[in-house]
Amino acid sequence: MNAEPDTRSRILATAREMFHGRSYADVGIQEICEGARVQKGSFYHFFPSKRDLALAVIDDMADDWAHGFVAEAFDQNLPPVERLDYMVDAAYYWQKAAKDIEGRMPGCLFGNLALEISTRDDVMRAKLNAVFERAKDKFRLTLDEAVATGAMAPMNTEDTATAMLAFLEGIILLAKTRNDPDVILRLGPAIKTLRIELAQ
Amino acid sequence: MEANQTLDARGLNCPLPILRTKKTLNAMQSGETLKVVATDPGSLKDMTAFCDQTGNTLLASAQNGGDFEFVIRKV
Repeated sequence: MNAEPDTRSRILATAREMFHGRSYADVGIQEICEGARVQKGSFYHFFPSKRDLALAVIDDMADDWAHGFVAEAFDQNLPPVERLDYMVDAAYYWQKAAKDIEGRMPGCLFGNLALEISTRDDVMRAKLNAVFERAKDKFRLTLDEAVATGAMAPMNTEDTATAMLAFLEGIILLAKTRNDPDVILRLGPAIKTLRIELAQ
Repeated sequence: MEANQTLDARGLNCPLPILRTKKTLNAMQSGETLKVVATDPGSLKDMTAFCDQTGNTLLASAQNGGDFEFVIRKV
């Protein structure tokens, strides 16, 4: 059995949980190693620095999301407008479950990191921006389909998709600040009402 | 407890079991029952909250080894 992928996965999973529950700056390599039960030498074999680890954590989580609940919510078999509800449900139940276990709502890892490091690290900022762009594209493709099938009136789908992503990230931030996932449940369904009209 | 349909959500983490449950219920008739089998430890609280919010009835919930089993009647 090859132990290497397992060691790398353990480091990634531990760092992801620590960065998400606390912050990038607050978590050190030493405690990541302790949490993942690996030696520092082994850590540096996989990740030259904490920053390299954070970049890998972003990729890892983005990949999990894309193949996990984002794919489930933006299911092509669902009517387009319903996919928006499923995305809100996904955000709510995920944040609620985390709060039930930890006592604290963690918020969105990407949103948390964007707030923390966007003024300090352009490479990490660009990676986070790419994650948000891909999320926005999911919304836009859904809106394009809704408009094409007549389920929604014509609109500026690119800007509306961006506004929907901003709304979802915003209510998750507000819910985190209140430590109350019900904010997502209460306000989330209004995502369907957001519209940026086409320029006249 | 028998049900009209069974959803195997074992190995899936929150929120996937809830999303699959919602999708499956949406395709069922009112009054029909759905058995959900999950391994996510958070699923007990999640399924209770889901039923409270959607008006579906949680008829039974039980732990069977590492599996959590729920029976839901569609509203």
